[in-house]
Amino acid sequence: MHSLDGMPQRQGLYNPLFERDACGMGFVVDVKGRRSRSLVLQALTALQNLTHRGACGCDPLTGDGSGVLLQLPHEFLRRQAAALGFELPEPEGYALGMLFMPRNPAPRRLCARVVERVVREEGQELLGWRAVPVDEGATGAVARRAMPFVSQVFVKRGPNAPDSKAFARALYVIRRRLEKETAALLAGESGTFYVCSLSTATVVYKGQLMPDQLVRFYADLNEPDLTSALALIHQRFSTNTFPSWDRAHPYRFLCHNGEINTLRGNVNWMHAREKMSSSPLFADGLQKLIPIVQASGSDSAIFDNVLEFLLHTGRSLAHAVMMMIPEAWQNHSAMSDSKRAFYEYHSCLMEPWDGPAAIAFTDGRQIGAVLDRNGLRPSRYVLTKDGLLVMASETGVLDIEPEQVAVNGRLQPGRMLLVDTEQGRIIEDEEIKESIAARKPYRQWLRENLVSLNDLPHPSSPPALDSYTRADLLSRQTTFGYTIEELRILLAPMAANAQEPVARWAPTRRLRCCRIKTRCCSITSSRFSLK
Amino acid sequence: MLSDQNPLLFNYFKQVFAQVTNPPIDPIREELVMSLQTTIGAEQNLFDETAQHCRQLRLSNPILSNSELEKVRALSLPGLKSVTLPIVYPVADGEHGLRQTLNELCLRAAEAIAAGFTIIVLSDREMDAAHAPIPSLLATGAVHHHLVREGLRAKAGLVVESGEPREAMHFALLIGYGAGAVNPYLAYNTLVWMVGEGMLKDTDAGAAVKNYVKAIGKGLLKVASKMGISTLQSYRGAQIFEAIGLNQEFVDRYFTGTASRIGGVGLEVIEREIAARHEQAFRAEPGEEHALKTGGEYQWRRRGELHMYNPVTIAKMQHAIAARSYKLFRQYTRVVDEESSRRATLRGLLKFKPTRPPIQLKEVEPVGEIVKRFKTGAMSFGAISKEAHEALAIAMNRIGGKSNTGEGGEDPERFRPDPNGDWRRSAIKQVASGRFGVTSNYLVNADELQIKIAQGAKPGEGGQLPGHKVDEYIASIRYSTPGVGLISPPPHHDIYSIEDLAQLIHDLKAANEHAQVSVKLVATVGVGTIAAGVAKAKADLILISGYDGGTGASPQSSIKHAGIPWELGLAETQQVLVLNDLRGRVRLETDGQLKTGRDVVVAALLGAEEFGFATAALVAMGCVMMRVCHLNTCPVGIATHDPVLRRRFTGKAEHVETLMMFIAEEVREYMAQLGFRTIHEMVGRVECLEPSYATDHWKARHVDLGQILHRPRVSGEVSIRCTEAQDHQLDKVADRRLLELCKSALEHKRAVKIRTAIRNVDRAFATMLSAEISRRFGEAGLPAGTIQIYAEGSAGQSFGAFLARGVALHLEGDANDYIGKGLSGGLIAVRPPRQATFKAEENILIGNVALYGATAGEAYFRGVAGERFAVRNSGAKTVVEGVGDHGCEYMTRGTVVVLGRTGRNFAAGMSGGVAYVLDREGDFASRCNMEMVELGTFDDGRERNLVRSLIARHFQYTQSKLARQILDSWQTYAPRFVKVVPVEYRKVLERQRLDSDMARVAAI
Repeated sequence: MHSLDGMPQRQGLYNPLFERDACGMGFVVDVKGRRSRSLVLQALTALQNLTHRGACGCDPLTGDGSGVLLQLPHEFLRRQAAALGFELPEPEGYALGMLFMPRNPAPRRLCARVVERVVREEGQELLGWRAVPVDEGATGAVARRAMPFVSQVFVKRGPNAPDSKAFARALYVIRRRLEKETAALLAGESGTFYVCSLSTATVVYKGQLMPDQLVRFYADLNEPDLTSALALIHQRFSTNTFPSWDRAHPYRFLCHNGEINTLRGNVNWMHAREKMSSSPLFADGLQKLIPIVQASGSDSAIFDNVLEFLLHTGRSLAHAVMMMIPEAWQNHSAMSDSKRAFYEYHSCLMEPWDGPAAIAFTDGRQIGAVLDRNGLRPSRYVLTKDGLLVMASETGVLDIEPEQVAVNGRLQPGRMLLVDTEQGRIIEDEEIKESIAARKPYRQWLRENLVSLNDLPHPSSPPALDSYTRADLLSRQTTFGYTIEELRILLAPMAANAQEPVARWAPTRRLRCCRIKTRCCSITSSRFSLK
Repeated sequence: MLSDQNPLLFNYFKQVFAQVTNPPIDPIREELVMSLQTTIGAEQNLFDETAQHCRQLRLSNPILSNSELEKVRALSLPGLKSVTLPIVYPVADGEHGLRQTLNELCLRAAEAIAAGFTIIVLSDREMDAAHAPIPSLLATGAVHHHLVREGLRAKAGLVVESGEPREAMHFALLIGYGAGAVNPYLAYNTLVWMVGEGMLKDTDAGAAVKNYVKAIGKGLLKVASKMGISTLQSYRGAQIFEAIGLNQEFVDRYFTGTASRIGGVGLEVIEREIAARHEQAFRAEPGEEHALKTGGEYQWRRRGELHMYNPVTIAKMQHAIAARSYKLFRQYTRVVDEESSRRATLRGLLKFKPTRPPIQLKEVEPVGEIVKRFKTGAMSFGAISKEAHEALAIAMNRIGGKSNTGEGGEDPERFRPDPNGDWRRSAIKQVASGRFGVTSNYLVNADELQIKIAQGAKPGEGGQLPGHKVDEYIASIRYSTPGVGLISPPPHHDIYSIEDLAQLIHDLKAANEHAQVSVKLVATVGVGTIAAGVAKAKADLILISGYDGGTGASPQSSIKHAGIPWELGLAETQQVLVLNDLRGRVRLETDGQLKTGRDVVVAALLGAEEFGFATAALVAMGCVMMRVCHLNTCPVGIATHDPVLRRRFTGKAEHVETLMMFIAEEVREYMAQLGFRTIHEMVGRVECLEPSYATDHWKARHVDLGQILHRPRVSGEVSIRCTEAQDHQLDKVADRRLLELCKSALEHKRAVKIRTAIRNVDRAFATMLSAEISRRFGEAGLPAGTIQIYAEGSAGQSFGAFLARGVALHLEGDANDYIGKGLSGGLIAVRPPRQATFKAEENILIGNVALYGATAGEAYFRGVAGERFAVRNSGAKTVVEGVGDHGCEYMTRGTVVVLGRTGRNFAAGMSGGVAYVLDREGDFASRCNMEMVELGTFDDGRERNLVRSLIARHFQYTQSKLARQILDSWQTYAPRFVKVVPVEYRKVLERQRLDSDMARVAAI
């Protein structure tokens, strides 16, 4: 059986860790939070108009993946549940899980049993299953080889989750446990079980599909009562042709166009941090969650892992995003002091996830986007007079009557755009950030706790720069492999010009290398070469 | 690659750099996003947010002076306490002692954290005759990874006090593997001593040390920016390196997560190398004064490290060429091939393993077929002389191979064959980040368009052509001003990611559908994965350039520390493309010190279909590797524009022809032995290679070539060489219809007017049309306004890219990124839809990176543009109503008028041209990068009128209300324009004006 994640093993000089991706992405939202069918259709049209930003592999009908994240379509789901013989509670009272499961019935049953057990053990109630209707014929041949069985599972809030936050935490724990326990169960077929989403607020439909295939593959997307007030869309371009359904975006909270260049370091630091973090909100400690980061995921998946974790630490979506992708605050003289203090304080908590990136994110209520500090990704938006906001990697992904346009805008480097569908308004970068920066007395905390090396008293007897005798110096230089050439070609120019030397292949002058007796004095030849 | 000279552990690592999927950053021109600031100390529970969370030590720079280190050492505040742990081991105990000490060090670090210390200083100050220092990188990596594994790492910062680090790469490695700060005490002491010895003139010890720290800081930012990283804080622990020559077990333990693909030595050999250096240092032989070693990593030395081109091999080759003696040539290749094996290059460690019976030499395809696969390297006409550049082209055209323009345009004069039948046109036209002279006409006169993503000698870095090298002729071809220096940005500003590259390939294919588009990558770990993405982006050919490639002026740190041999990059690329079933759609080429027929055959077996030669071709023409390429003093007249020196150039096209023929002949001999009739059937037959450990190089024993010789197991239908062409889907583009509609203009120069709708999926609009114009009418194009196209809607990316003279595009709607890229004389006007009710001047109208590399033409935008407006503009005149960050970056010529606000960092790296910014609020100066420009007002009425007339044209084409308002109250607005002009450029213009005035006076 083919695994869902069709990435080959490391072999020869190939290592799957090198894989990269990028894309076209965006979102559509009704600022006032009005759910509609037309919004879903607009999102799907916009996605198709980004097709050229994706790619196809060796099979022209297999794209690199695309997907859409929507608000839970309650009416639609209630109708489906009724047909299956169970009743759904009111919104917020249940969560929908969108699962990729093994196509083989035997392992699938095993996975289902794990789901049922874990949901129960975490004190929630499993209401029922739904096999998501899909059209295999809509996929390319390569994608079909790795196609999963798509299931939905309905989970009712249990008595141990008094409020929606507690329920969200329980769902987080359930998902992490499912990921870990099914991985152990399906050892050797890793990746065959994958949770696209498990949430009271959002659902993700995605796969190794081209935008036009997505709509045909998932019959649900064509149902008239499948509505939403917001949608994240994504079209992927990856550097391989291996089918991997779970690497399509959106992830649970975001989609991403870009690359985290410091990923290895960020992941290592997260491993170090998670072990020293704890919260009474997670009764059994973080054991069930750890590791926070699933190292086999793409940089976007890992970013999503950490963002999700930060949300559960009590930070808002915007706050967490500001921590991970700070603006370039160090040299920004025009930035307000409170915002600088916010960034400086948070630099003590977490290093930036650095690299070119446009990220669109949502928790189902708020939706927004942020751009890296250098603005190395495009992000354009249009706001219409009746409150539709369309943001995407390109302008023109939706036909909007010119007289309907209120604002044509773009996301600027380091800036954030946020729509709060409950408040029914757009919150501008300045307002979001200033309000978050004012949450705590960051400046005062910094003043009292952060110690600047420059402010520390000088040592009473400052050590000399040249503490060694000549003989001592020479022994040390030799031990550390210093050569005359290095002194001359490397150190001397740096000391003279305050910059690294440019290759200077000038004819060698006789060296004034002094009283040190060396062979280098014989160098007068002008013919030499690079290695 | 394998050094005998007891190298430092640092030397086993190579920097990884950004190419294609993310852009490198320019740390100088885009300094505002860069930062060296870090904090070290203990982190806290992420679930909380307390004052205690920022109880850390802030450093403005990670390179600590001795007294700064003492401050750290003296720290004993609540929550900020430091401890020093020695990193020396009893050298008498050998490997065992080192291993033991490392284990103890890790335990002690963990204990220190348990005891409440939050800063751990690792110090090798205590080394002596009995104790050798643990390599600082090994100690750092060991402690860092131990603490990560134990979940303790975030509870303390690491500081390294070591005599070992001295160059930027060393510091980058220490920080990349977890150090928060470094004190290079021995480097300081050495500098002070050098001052004392008079080795550093005009510098006192204090200044020397200060300059040195500054240089290292800049170097660190450069290393980070090569990978597209802007803050040192996130570089810390990011491990952006590949190990070469270290074994897996060693790497997994101390540098967990780092790639090391050809195996190599472990702790034992590393220890032996330390002990050898230590012994040399402390071997007490009374009476003998010992001395520092010479070195020889940078230049050839009789007793230093081995280099492949040396006086002997150069002379042998030139002799063979001059005598046209194949026999002598075989002597040259024998010496080179032996050297290759002795030096333990990867190809030197491989030998042929015939898998079929040998055939007669005459059965092998002729030399004439083989040389068609040969190319000369990309050396720009700015870097080598006209004579040398043209000789290469003539030679390659004669034999059916290809020469390369390099970055810097080409004189259209060379596009037509000479009367004697020779052709000085370079078949390959390079498109590099500077886009100098990349016009529609340049692009149509090519058989191959090469996108240079990176350069072998300095991947991830930009370049600079100093003003004194830019003479009249070069300036005219590069569309710049004589005497004014030119900067090539580190990234292509239209390639920030893989889908952008796909777009550029599409643009170039539209600009010349008959040329194949190639993409030049530099070998590095993961290059195969990048290449797979590039193949999906529809490149026709991918060039894998080895680290030996590239000459001229590159920073020392790049030459030694970035890039890997082509063998490794090529093998990886071949494997990954086959694994992805993409190999059949794309051709592969390699270069990087290919010198002999044997090199070519090894490359073909590893997967290359085409082969590039740079240095070899120069040597054939007389280069003696003086290595003064950047000084304009080349004694043999190759890398110089000095007319006197150029007269010394004795190289001839025949020399290059002879070299290529000889190499091909040698290739044939190997093919006969291996039983191959054509190169085509030989490509990718890696089973015909096997490791050869015949070499006596002691380190070679540790190398494992298994991964290089791996052949992915795939089904029989999967190609291992190029068998089909890419489908560029150019038959569906809007331009096909434009070409139909413009027939009468193209054939009879009749005026044509077209109305059309446009959508974001219509990309590179009017680019094929422009190509057809250039093909028929050359640089001159059509008379202005011959073709008028009125489009409505949202235009796709690269609207009007390389737009030729005679075409005017009027767009009503808006546009995406790269509008007017490479504008070549056409006119573009964009305005919002007539029905729109929003204020045009407050809304975004066009995307990022407009007019990138434009050489001529006009563009009017009634609305605001995104980031990097008119980046590298070298001739377009344009008016816009507001721009984002980095406007007019790297601009070299042309005129830009901004009628609204600009973003930050305006005019960074701008060396020519003039910008006029309407500064209503009087705060423009704070957003302008003043490093190269000065601000002023209109010099005179002429200049005033020039700007006014541009605004009038802006109104004429876009009906801009803002323009109308400004024109109506011109007296009020005129004084508010700030003129932005590069200082160097202004001086050159003034000198020119003065000269012409003098000439006029003299004439009277």
